[in-house]
Amino acid sequence: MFAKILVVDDQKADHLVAEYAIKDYNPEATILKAFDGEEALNILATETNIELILLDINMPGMNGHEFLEHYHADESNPPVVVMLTSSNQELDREKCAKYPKVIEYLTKPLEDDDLRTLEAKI
Amino acid sequence: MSEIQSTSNIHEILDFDGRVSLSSGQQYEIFRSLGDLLFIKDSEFRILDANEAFLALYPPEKRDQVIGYTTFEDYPEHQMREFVKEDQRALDEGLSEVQETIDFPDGQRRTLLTRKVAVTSPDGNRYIFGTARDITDVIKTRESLAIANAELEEFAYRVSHDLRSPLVSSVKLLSMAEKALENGSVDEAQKFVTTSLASINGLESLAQDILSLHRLKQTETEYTSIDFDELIGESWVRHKVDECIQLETQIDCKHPPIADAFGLATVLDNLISNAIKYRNLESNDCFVKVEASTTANKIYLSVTDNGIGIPKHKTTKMFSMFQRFHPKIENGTGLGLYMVKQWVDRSNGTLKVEHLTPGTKFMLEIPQHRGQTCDTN
Repeated sequence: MFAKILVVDDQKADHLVAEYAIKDYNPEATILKAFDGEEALNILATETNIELILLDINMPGMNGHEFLEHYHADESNPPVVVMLTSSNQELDREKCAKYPKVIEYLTKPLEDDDLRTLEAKI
Repeated sequence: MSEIQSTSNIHEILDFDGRVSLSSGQQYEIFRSLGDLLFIKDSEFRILDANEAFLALYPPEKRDQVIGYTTFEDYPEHQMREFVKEDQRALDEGLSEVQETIDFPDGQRRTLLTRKVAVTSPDGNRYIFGTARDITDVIKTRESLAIANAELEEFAYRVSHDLRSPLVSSVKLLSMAEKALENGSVDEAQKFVTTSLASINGLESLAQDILSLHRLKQTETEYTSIDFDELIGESWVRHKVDECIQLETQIDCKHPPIADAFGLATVLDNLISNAIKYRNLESNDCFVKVEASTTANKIYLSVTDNGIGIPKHKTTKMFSMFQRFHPKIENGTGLGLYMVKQWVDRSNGTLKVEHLTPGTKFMLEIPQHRGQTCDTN
């Protein structure tokens, strides 16, 4: 069961949805929030044992793709990124396919069952 | 074509079968006056003859040094090498066909589709007969269509995302609110509804900006006299949030400003609303300064703020569609500065941005419209 999850999204509404989905999945989980890729990288630099990153693609500041470029530059980072998008565009999937640390691509809204499926997959 | 046009009897240029039968003089007139570039070269690449369109590529004082010359020295060296290469190819292989972009002696850069054919005269001399079509405008149109198409695709993608995103989260939040109410958790339900409402409000801003963008781009421009005090005042009332931010105006319009009132109002409104939206929330001393002045030919407008600014390394993206730079400030569509740039370009104006410490200054310069005005008063 994922115990520490980083949610990267610029929308407060999506953070709230993710927060409740995670709570339903694991009430004990620690949830870290970032509003763009740069903030997420700062959190990753200081926090340890983050088991899952739920990453939005379209964000102001550093977007999801730019975050992945930085995240993949450090090979020691674990392959735990899950892309979250609301548009379900094939182009987005193709772009994400080139990043091996992206293990899944989900369409919003995030549900607690998505997290269970992900856990089983890992 | 004068000889053909002056022919009073059509039968003079038709043979017994009704087919066109031109005298050599008539044929030469057609050669001389065709819009495409036509030229004949000898095997030493000297121009033996050329039509008016070809000669017009040279400044008047040089036109008597075209026939009988290669004119290679009038072109950059790399271009000269290409001419020689293609002339030689035509002679060796019988045909040369290229698309070439050339800096011509008249100072213009043109893209031509050039075809050179080798012909042999009865006495065995070899000649090159060349035709070239100026496709500069076609290329430009093709490039601008490609840009417009890419922009349209990006627009459709981003709009579909930005429309769907708040809808998806709002529907989910409302179902969570319903469930919370069933469980008697009114506070929690309230939180879900409030967040959902904020999300849906963003949709209205997006729809409004898309409509404004459409109107700026598509509708016919109506030029009217501009009352800057009124435009600034209306925008300020629309966007002002609290007393922590002050408006300063400096209007100096010795010449009455005449411009596209809707466009200018939209641009001014976007710049003022940005200055307010991206103010420094930790400061009680925020300001927005709007300056406007005119000359007989120009309108100058600037909007300055001491807000959180735009990261310098994002300057190149600043005027692109759907660009937002501050993740924690949600109520922006990312279309505002794009609209500003589009309108300024359409108005044949200039737009500059200065990164201040702290803040940003946008400076616009647009031509005064000298045509007929429609008085709004």
